[in-house]
Amino acid sequence: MSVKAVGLDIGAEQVKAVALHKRRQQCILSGVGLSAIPPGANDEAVAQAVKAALREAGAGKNAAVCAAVGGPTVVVKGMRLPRTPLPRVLEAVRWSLQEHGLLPVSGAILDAQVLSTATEGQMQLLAVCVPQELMDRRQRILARAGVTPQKMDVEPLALLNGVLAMQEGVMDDTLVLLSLAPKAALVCVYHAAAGAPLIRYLQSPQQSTAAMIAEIRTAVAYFQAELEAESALRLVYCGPQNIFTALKGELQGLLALWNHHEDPTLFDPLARLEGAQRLLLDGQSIEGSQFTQAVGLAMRAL
Amino acid sequence: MTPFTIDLLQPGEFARTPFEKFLLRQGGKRLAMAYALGGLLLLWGGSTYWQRTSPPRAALAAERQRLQALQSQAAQRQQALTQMRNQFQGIGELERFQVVWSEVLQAVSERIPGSLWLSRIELVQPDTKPNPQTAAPPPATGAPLAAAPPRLLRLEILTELGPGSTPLLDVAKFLDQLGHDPRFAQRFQLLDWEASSGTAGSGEAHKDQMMLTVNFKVVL
Repeated sequence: MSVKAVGLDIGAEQVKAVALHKRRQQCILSGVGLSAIPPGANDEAVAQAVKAALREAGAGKNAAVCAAVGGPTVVVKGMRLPRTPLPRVLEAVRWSLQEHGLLPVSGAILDAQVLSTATEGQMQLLAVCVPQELMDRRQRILARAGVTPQKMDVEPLALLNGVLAMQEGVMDDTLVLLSLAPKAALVCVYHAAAGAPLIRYLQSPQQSTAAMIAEIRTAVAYFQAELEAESALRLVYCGPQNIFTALKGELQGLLALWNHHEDPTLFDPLARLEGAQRLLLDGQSIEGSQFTQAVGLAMRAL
Repeated sequence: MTPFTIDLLQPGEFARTPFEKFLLRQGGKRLAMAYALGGLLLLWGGSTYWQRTSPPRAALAAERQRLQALQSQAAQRQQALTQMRNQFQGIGELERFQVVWSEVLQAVSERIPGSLWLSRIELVQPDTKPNPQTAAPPPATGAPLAAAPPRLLRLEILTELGPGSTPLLDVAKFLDQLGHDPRFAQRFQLLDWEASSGTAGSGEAHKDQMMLTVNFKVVL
């Protein structure tokens, strides 16, 4: 079978690869790869883990690979700008980020997406700013692994893409997506009416669970205030189950505050993809929710 | 499919037109593919054209060859026909001459009076002088008629001159009768005549003779 697209999620402890192909507008899972990164590993060790994960996923040489960068230094920000000619949008974004003190001094790579252009002359953008050294390091690792990525996304958006692409029906409520990836936990709040998501990285070495909950609460409150419209909340999480178990107790109070009586939903993309049953039959115990970001990346490459 | 399309490897992609995107993304590969596709298309077109046109082309070549063969055959036939026509024309002329000749001889033999002897009758060209050694040549069968037909009919008439003879009168009557004979008059017109006298025989038997040369213009 020819693999068309591979999403490559290089985390802090694991490299995850998901291979997808398309059949009649439907995504079919054709391979999953998971490889551990030893603690304190250098770039070479990470590159080896990348190779192993891709091999396990059955990614061929011709596969279109989509990778991502992420971390607290990555800025993903919705912004409104006066209507600007498209070739000058990035320049305007750079200026705006610089004005807000969000532009790294050592250089950054910027990209943007025009979400909407209002008739009043305003355009809504999603701006992304990635420090140059972070991008360079990711590309160096990929080059060592012999991978030439077709696209380079940012991790929170890949995660959100994965969830939004696989949701069923129309989503009218505000999505609160909690990613509990080790050393890169984040909360992502999104509503279709808002256009751009609000993204906050949660976990830092000093941060306690209570501080994380407070950060989530603040992020959601801020987003709702910006949205200027009442909408119900829907909490979805993904990542290792053990981290969620540790967080669950603290989260109950917040859920009660939000008047959210349902338990948070675990998002497992592998359970929703066709072909997963066939692949995971051989007794592998894989937590499918950990692959949300890799699935989102693979979908970008399709 | 996915709502967010950030790509840090191609920042500012949203600002590019679809044509620019097409050119920039894997431009070399696409160009090579376009060349290959164009080459294949050209090859396919050429082979299709050749396949479709080669049978009629071969048929056309065969037709041309046949046409050339027919043309040369027609030329040969035309040549043969011309030759045959000439031959038939010659034969026709000959027959006509034969008919004319026999009628002329008949008319002359019927009209000539007993006092005159027809010494020679011949068809001659206008400038040729009478040749006393050659007999009147009857037209030979199958003789080529490429030469111009004789334009004069020449009669050489002999008569004896004696006391009381009226040779000139007989000659005049004879010529008059010939002039009124439709078998002769329609074909010949009296042109001129000439009389000359001479002696034939020896001793007592010698007699004075007059030779009359009469030329008729051939009208036919």
